[in-house]
Amino acid sequence: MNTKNILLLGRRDQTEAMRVAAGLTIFGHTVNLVFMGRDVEDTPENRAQAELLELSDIEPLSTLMDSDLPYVPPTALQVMCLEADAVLSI
Amino acid sequence: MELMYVVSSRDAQTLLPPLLRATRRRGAGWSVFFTGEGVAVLRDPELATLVAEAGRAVVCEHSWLRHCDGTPCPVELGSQTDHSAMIADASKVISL
Repeated sequence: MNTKNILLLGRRDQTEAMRVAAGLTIFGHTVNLVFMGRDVEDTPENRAQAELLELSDIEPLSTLMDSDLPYVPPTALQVMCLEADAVLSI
Repeated sequence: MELMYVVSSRDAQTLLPPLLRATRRRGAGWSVFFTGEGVAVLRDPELATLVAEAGRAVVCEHSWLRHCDGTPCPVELGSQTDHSAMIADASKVISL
């Protein structure tokens, strides 16, 4: 068993991306979650998953400059990709 | 495990079979975890047959109940805990 540095790109299903990100921490993996392309929708499901992220010590980022989440520019995202042991797209 | 497929999209229904056949030809050890809407691809009998050859194949039970309307699941039902453990055990991870 090896713990990994995992980059999770939240693209299609934001709720699922948050649920998977939180779950991945169970075996000690480091997880970076980056939402891409659109703001995180304010839904009851997303709010519940956001609480799970907080419990898992995951601070999500966004590729949108005007998001409420911290912005990750393309150069920084590229570095995150290079440093990750696995990149998941959800 | 040499190779792990993480399946989270319906697109995998066409992408996964040729990859699995190629993996078989190469003789690589592989596992697969299905989550989100990706679980729905297991309704395809041909794909389910290919998946039966995996070293380990697990479906997120939460996702299965959400997307598959009570259909019997052809492989092991598990959770995101299994996903985390399987990732730890995999040398390479492919996300579809």
